[in-house]
Amino acid sequence: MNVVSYHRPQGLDALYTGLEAENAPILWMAGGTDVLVQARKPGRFDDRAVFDLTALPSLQAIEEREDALVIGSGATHGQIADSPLVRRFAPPLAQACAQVGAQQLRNRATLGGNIANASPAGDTLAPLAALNASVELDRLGRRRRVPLTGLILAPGRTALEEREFIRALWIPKLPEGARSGFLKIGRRRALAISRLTLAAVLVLGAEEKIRELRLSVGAVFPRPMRFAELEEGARGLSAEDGCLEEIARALSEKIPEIAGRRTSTAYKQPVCRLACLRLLKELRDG
Amino acid sequence: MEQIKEVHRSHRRLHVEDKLSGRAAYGADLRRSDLMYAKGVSPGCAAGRIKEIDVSACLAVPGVAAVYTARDLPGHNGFGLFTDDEPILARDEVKFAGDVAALVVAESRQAAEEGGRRIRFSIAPVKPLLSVEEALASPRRIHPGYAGNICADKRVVKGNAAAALERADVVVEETYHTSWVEHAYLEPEVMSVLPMEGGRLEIRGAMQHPFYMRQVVCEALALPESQVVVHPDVLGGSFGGKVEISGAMAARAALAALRLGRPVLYVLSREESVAQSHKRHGIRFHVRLGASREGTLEALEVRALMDAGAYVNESPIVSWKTVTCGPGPYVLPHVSYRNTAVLTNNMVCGAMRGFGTPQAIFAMESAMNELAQRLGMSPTELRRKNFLHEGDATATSHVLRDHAVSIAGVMERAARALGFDEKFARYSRIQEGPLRRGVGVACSIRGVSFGADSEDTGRARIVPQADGTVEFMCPMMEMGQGAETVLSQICADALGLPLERVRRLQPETDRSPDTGAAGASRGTFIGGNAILQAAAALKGQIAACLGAEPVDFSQGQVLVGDRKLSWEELYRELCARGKTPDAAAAYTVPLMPWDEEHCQGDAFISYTYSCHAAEVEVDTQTGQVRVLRMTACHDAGRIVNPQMAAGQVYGGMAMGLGMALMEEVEADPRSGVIRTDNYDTYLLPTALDACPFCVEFLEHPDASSPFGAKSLGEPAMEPAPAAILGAVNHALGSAGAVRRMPADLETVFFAAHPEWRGEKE
Repeated sequence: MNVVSYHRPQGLDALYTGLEAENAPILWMAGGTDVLVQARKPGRFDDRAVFDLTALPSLQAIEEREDALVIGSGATHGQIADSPLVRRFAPPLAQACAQVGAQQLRNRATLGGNIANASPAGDTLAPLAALNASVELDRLGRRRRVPLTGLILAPGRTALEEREFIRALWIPKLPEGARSGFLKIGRRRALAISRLTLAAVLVLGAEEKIRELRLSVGAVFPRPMRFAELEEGARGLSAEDGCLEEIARALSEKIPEIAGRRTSTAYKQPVCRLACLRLLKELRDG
Repeated sequence: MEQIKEVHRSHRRLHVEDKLSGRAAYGADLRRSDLMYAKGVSPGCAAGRIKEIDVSACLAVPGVAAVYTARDLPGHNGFGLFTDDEPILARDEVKFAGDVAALVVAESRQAAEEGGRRIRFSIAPVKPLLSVEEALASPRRIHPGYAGNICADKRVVKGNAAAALERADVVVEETYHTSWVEHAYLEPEVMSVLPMEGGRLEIRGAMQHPFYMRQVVCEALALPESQVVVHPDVLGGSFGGKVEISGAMAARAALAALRLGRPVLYVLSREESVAQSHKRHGIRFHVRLGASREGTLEALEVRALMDAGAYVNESPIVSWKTVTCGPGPYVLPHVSYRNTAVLTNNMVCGAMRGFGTPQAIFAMESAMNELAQRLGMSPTELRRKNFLHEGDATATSHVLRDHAVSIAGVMERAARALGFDEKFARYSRIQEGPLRRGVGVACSIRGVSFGADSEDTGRARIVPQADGTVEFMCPMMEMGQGAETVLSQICADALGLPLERVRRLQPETDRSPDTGAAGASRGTFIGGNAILQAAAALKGQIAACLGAEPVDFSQGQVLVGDRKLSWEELYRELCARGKTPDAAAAYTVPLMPWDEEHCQGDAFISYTYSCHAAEVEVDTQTGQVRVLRMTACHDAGRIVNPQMAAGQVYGGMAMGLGMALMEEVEADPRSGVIRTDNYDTYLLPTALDACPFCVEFLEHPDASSPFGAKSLGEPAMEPAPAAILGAVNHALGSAGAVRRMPADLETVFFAAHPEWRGEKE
């Protein structure tokens, strides 16, 4: 792997100083599980200055705030999957992280890396979208927060500015009584790139009326998406089979609508419908 | 006097500590300060004429020492164990995307790769023939010697199948497809060549057949065989794949080492390995299977077509195994089984564990299940009714008299271990919910070793030592299957010695006699028989030298006439008479009556009988299949090392699981370039996809086999995919729901929901 320079700052100040002194375009490296694989392609990163974030302990914290969970971008999938806080306040994210790749990968690969990589098949994206996550960004010490659905623009493309990196994920705690779930369809039981992922949050009120519904599908659309009209339309409806079937059908119809009719649509559209219905029924039935 | 003390025991695998501790030296572990690195370069298109190869920019790369092309080869530019039509370096023509046309040699791996990228091939493109149909219809011959691009056309003709099918009460007529499959050894191909004193060359690396390495190198470089010695490194998996490709690599690296006078290491990347190596054939079977209303099989007609790829390689004998073993362990009065191999500009197909039989067993066993369903019988009921027994004739009209024809008992054991009959009845009832269970069973009959179409000889040499131990040579490669341990156990019992006093010399080509490839499930059978022959030759040597008879080996002693000698005394006595004990001998499978045109006669000297059974759970809403449990029973005669034999079967079932459910090499249909070029896209089962495996052996010691031990390497794998597909179809509620492998997500989902059936991606 040839690069212009390699930096592994031990603190944020050192990071900012290093970034200001560096003229070459930056290659952020968190866990390295994507970078090192891509680096096998000759010349892939020849012009880049690598900033390795693994020595910044502040990026690895998982903390509870008053109404949100804050997960450092350097937290690994393994840490997130095992975190009692995440399991309590953001269960679909913990479930997704537990199914990514295999143990060795989960020990290194980070949440920030999965987001910055912006692969449509990234397993954390659908749960993060369903959890209304926002992303805290840092450019030379100047911070801003954007919703996850606004950060990822297209496969492999984000709204990150030059020299800007992901510091943390802010995940609002789920409301009391919220039920949530995640499912992944892959071609094998480990090390599988998802064919389809699905994350859902369901809050039921009196008489099983839907108070809140959030749905997000992964490995289907070019970026993580939510469908406001679908979710709003479900509000107040009774969570009976027929209604959930309608929701699942409406969600699956977004696939050809947004991604176009591809050869994979023949499989993904009906499977999305069936999987969504299954997940919603599971959540309803507790 | 035959004594069994070391055989039939689960001895710990020899040298296992080296592998467990990481000490074992694989080919790519070679470290030398003067090492050079080789890289083969492909034009990358599937068909075209090579007009020019411009190497000037490559040679300008710092560190690049040389580039070699076909014109630099002084000798024969071809490799292939049976048909050597594949060029070591493509000269005038490119026939598939994995053809290598130039070899870059450099001071570093990076320089070799950089140099490789700078070679400019000037190619006049030819429209590639990328399907069997196109190749059959095209006037263009991919190889001038094969009209219609047909490079093999084997058939079994017994009785009159067409007429019998007319008369049959019930005929199942269906088509089954299988896909290209990768060997997927963990260790990619690696060869190194080191110049020795006196101008000799030492060949090292990962290989399945050391003597074949020597042959290819000597033919390519026009060297006498005495100029080359082969010392194989520890092998990291092969499954049939590291015979010929390794030979071509050895020849290329040897050319460089000879010219440059420096050691050369040649390691393939995974992508290169996938692009260049031979594959398991994808085969299309059109099957007609006829039976009486009561379920007695009457006739089988199979028309199989397979894509050989760009070179003939081993397609003719793969085709032969398909037709001779494909009809299965059933009494079939009328058989017409034909398999035609067609040259195309696709990836080359060749030897892979099973040699065409896992595909054929899938077709036959699927048709059996469909027939059982039509007749309202269970899969086991139909099979029970039609199994071969002693005195019956196989599809090749081989009347089985000299061994226990035990398939009926073998199936009962595997089926019982799974609880097959009870589960079949239970899961055949309506199942609620999206998760459905099913069970499947598949049986096979596999000939031992090569068979009647090939000469089949193994050799061994036994050299008693002064200290009472014995060295022996039988260079059947250790590929993880346990050949070293098993052959040592056989040698120990052949000499009446404890295992610790017998030592196998590591395979090499200077002093060891050529025993052929570790392949065709012949390691134990041929290697063991050769060792028995060498032990007999040693007895003859002792009798002649000491002038006394009979000679026998028993309990660590040598009985000569009425004397009992220790092995130390024997050595001293022979030396005192001017004789150093050293016996070599060959074992050749006896010639059997055989009509090659109709494949009729005694196809094999003996057979291994196998049955695998599987239980699966299918998610009808996603197409996901989970294998819950597999059971196996094999009659491979006496089992030399039960624990290692079970290990072979565990691996075989896992390999079959991959083939059944996920493994498929995909090529771009327009360019012929393989898309699944690494293990992120070519999916192998992981440990989480595996399931509890239960293995049993039904042991009937075989008279023609060493201590009764027959073949297991390929039988351990061949019925597994068919058993799993049978279970998937049972879960889906119809024996014909899925007629292709792999039964991947989409295939299974659309089988469960025909209303949404679309085109597979």
